[in-house]
Amino acid sequence: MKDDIRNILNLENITRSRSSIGIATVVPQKDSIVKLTPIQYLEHGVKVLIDGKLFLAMIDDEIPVKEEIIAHVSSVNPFSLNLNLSMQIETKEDFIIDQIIKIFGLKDDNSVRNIIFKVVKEGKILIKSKILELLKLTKYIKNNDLEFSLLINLVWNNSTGNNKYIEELYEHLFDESFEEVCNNFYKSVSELLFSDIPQFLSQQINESIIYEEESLNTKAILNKTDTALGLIRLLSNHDNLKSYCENDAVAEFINYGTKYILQKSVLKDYDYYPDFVIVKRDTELTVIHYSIKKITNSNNKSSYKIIFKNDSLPFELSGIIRDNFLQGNVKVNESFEEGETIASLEENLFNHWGFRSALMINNENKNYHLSKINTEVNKLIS
Amino acid sequence: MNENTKYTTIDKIFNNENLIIKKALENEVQEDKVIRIFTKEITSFIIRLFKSDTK
Repeated sequence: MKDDIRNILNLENITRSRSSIGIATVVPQKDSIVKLTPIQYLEHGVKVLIDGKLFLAMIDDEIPVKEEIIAHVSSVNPFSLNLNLSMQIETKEDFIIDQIIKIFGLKDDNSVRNIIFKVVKEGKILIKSKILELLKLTKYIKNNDLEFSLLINLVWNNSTGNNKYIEELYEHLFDESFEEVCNNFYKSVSELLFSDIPQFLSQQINESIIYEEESLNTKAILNKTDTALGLIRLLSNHDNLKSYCENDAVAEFINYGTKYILQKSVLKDYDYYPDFVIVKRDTELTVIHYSIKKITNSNNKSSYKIIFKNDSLPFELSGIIRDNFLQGNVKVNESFEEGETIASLEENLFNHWGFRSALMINNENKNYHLSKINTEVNKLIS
Repeated sequence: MNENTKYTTIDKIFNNENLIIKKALENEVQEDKVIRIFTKEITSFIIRLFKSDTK
C-alpha cells in the first residue's frame, strides 16, 4: 500500500515537472484521440503515458507494457478513455483514421486506411506493433471478408514477430477463401452424384450431405464436419473409384472436404462459424452460404451476427441474434412477397423454438453491428 | 491447382505437426444450439422461396 502511495506521489511530481501546467489543462478534450502507453502494472492500477504525460490508470484489458495504443476520450469528468472505437468510427470515419495515421506515423494511402478501418470494426484495441505486423502481411489480404477478419484475429492473438505460423496457414490452407473451398467441395459432390460410382456410395453422399426437408435429414445441416470426414474415409477406402468418374471428382472431394474441415476448425477458434448447405432446387442442386460470428460478453452471454445468402436468388438475410431475439433485414426480390412471406419464417422460429424475431424487408440502411462491451481506461490520477 | 500441387498441399497439411489437422479432428466442431436452429429454419425458408420463385 505504501508503495502505491509513493508511486502516485512520484507520478504527480513527474507530471508536474513535465507539464508545468494545471491538471485541468493536462486532461485531453472530450472526443479527442490520444496515444496511450502502459509503462508499469501496479497492484492497483497501471502507470501510463497519455500523449506523453504520466497518469495512473485502471485498464480492463492486459496490454503489454511499452505498446503504443490509441484511445478515445469518452468523458472528461470523470476522465475516461475508450479503447474500442468501433462505434465512433460509424460517424467520424475520416477524422478517426486521420488521427490514427498521424499518431502512429503511418503512410496515408487507401490500403492503410482500409486496414485501420477493418481493425477498428473488428473491435480490436489499436496497438501500433500489431498494425505494423498486419501491414507486413498485406499480400494475404485479398478482400474485406472472412479471411481478412481471421488474419486480424491471428495477428492480435499471436505473439508479435511470430508470423511464420500465420504465413504457413495462409500459404497452405487459406490460399483459397472458405467460400471458394465450399463451392469447390459442392462442385465435387455434384460431379460424384452424376458419375457412375456404385449406387450405395452415391446414396450415402446424397443422404448425408444434401438437405431435404421432407426426409428430415438434419445431418446435412448439423454435424457436417463429422459427415465430411466420414465420407472422406469411405471414399478413401475405395481405390478403384477413379475409373467411375471424370475429372477425378473423388480426389477433389477428398481435397476440398479436408480443407473445409481444417478451415472451419481454425475459424472456430475465433468464433467464426461459416458454413454451407446443399439443397435441391427443382431437379438441380444449389448452395446456401452462411456466416455466423459469435460474441460472448463479460456475463458469458452469447450474441450472433448472421448472414445467409444464395447465389441463385436475389436473397440475403442479415441480422443479429441476442437473448434469443433475431433482429434483421431480408433483401428479396418483390416477387417473393406474393408467394412465401417473411412472416412464415418468424412464425416458425417462434412456434417451433420460442425465438422471437423482427425482420425488415429491403431496408438498405440497416447495418447490424455487434461488439463486446467497451474497453475502458478510467479512474485516472494525474 | 494442378494435381501435383494439390497432393503436395494435402501431404503438407497432414504431415506437418505444427499445423492443425490433429487438432481439427480432435476438436470436433460443436456449434451452438442457437446456430443450428437458425440454420435449419432459414434454410427451410429459402427452400420455400425457391418454390415461390418457380410458381
